[in-house]
Amino acid sequence: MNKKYFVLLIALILCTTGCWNYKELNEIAIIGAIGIDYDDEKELFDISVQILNAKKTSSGSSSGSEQQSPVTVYQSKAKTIHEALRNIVLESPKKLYLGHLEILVFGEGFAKKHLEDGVDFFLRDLESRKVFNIVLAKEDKASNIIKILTPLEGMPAHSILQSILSASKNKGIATDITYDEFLSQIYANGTEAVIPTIIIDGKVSDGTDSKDTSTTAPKTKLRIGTLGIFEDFKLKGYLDQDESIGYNLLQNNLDYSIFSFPCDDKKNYAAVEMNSAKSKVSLSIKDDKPKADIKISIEANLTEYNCKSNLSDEKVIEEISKKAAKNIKGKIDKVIKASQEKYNIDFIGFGEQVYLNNYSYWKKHKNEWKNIFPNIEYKINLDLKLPKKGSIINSAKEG
Amino acid sequence: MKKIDTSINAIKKHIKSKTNNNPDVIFKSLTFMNNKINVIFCESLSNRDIINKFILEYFEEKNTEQKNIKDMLTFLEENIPTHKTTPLNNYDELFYNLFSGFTLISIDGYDKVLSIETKATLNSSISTAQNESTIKGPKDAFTESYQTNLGLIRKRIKTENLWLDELKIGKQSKTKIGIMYINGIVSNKLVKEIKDKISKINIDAVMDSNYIIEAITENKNNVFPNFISTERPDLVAMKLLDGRVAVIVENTQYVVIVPITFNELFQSPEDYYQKPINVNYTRIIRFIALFLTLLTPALYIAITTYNYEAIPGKILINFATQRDGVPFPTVLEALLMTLTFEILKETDTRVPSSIGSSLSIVGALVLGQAAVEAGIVSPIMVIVIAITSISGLMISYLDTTNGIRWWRLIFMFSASIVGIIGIVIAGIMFLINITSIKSFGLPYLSPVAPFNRKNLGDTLLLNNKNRLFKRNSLTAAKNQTKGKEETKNE
Repeated sequence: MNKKYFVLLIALILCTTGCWNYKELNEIAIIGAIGIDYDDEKELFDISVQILNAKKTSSGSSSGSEQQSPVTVYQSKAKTIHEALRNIVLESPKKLYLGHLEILVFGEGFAKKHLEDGVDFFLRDLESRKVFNIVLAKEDKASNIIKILTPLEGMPAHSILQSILSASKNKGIATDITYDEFLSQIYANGTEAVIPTIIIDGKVSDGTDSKDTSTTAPKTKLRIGTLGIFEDFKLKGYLDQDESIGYNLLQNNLDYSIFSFPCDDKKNYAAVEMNSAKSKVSLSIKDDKPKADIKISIEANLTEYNCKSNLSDEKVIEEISKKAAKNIKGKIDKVIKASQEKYNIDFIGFGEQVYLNNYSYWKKHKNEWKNIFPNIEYKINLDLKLPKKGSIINSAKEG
Repeated sequence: MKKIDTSINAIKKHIKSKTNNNPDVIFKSLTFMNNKINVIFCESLSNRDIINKFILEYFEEKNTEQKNIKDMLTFLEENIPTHKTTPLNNYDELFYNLFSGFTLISIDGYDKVLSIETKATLNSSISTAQNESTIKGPKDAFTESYQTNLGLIRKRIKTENLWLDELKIGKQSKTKIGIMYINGIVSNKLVKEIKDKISKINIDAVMDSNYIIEAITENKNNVFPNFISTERPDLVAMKLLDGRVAVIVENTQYVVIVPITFNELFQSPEDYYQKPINVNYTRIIRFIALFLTLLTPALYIAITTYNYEAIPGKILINFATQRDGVPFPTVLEALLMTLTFEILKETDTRVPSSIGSSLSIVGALVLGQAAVEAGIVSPIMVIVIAITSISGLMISYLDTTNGIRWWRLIFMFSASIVGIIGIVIAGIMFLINITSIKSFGLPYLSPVAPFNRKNLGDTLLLNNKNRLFKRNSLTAAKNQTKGKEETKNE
């Protein structure tokens, strides 16, 4: 008998929860992307929210009726991010749901001055995951990026995310970085954060119209830009394309990328496609001075060759790989130079290596790192292998 | 027990008064070698051909030889040309024999009655298994005839150790119950327990083997069966060889096997007729189907009303789009569809097959396209219910399928109250429930819980060694290696 009452009790306890947190799927607005700007005049956060449109198109007339936008954007301003988000309730019939946030876009103005005040909410909020990706609107407002529709992929937030992932993996100019990784880079000792950027090609007013994406050549498109660099919570500048690739090589982020380089003196070019790359940055202290030793081993395939030479010759291959290595080495050289001389910001993480391996040295020189860092000597040891030449042996030019 | 009278008229009178002058019962008076003889039989149960050819003709032919026979009863018992003649000495046995289709011969002056087997065949012939069909393996199934069923088992196990104990249960029906087991493998304690329990049953009639098992089982409040009731003689033979006990009930197609474990409910005899590696594939699918049929609606409810974060954004958007415009809460939608399916299923079993096709047309329309287009349910819910029901139908035992229905409902309710946490709570309750079941002393989840390594070879995955050379040591009390010489029985 007792057992029966016990089961009944459990069932009753379950009922007392009163369907806590219960919400039907069509009562929530699923947010794909959020853009954060800062209104300097009124001193308010300017939040724009991209809500995925879950409305059923009337069946059978998908081509006839006017095309419906896949997303809707709401904007609101308030002193805090959460209040601004809640204000959207006034305009939207559904309650916002943050759990499937894919992209957080920082406006440039916000990233330069007010980032510090804007990171707390997303860390504290229970609903959002901390693994959404972040991106910076290069020389633009985040709200503009949020409004642009994308071709091929219906959900712009997902399209941006895919573009970043692809640009970071197959090209190397962006870095796929999530919110928690970004913050841990900012908080970490001896390294600074970088952020992928995004640019609007064309007019914003064209990009918000779903007619634009239904043409073969949309007037307005989103394009992934080169990396932006931070010092603490402040955006300090941008790397160029070569520097971004060099950065990603050093960080072991890059697996596949194409490198073009001249293969003779007559302005003819060849290209190699990288298959795998492994890099290791190690710092040693010599005479109370850190010295960086960078080892990179790359395996690549020759994918295009427009010079005239006999590729069946081992020596020629060796020469080509030397030239390719020189090209790649130049990119790495360039990014280190940029970090040491142009910005004096240690985003490559030399300081972190010292912090991890020579803590006593780091403790002693922590405060003067800004002076030590630009003068660190480094040596790049690049080992490039070209095991495959593709389906043909000689250059197509040779015939 | 009333002894049989010596006068044939007294016997006739007694039978007539006891049966309220039943017109079915035929009395035929003869005079045979100066003896008054009464031939008594029940017209509807006996085979008139046999009675005419072997009994009445015998009396007529032999009547011409005027011999002087001292003991007419013994003479007839030895000389009537049938295979089985038994003398009876009390009315209980007399009535039982009479209403089993036997022909009785009463002779004036003797306090015994001769009983001759003249049963009419009132049973359907052996046909293929209807509900537990297989592709490979034997196709024959049990019939309503007790003797045929015994024969179907005996022809598979031709050993003298296949023992049969017979009881008669049912105040009115006097149904024969056979308890079959293999001596030397089975646990004697189990046989004694089952026999004791069955003999204590005090009911009016036994219509099906389920009557017996429900009356003796300790598993009354559970939805899952702790027995298998099967129509396949090969399965019964297989289980007997593992030390189980089969309960065969007169007039039913279903033979009950006890004790069993939970995983056996999801096995088919066909599993043993194929390569183990291919069987394992099927068994894993059955296992997945079990989870699908239990959890799919609950998971769908939990995901779309509480735990949106559990699925990728793209699927969530799809779900949300599908649900756009559906007026009911997801729980109600799921219950509605489940109800519709259950009604269809029940109707389909009860409906005469001649109007079955119209039912399937209406059913497909109601469950599918029309309901979606009318905006009553979302298309995704149709898929959810379809997956649930198809997976549920994969289990061949009706008792199991019907048990799972209850648990599916419990899962759905808990999911609708607290989402995935509710499913976890219901899951724990489910586990507690099935671990606590015992099938005649055998833990339901064995050999997994309690863990028994020796017998793991035939649970989720089948191992050839367990199939061919080893008996299930949980049920086989003795002689655990297959094919080994019988050890001397104690």
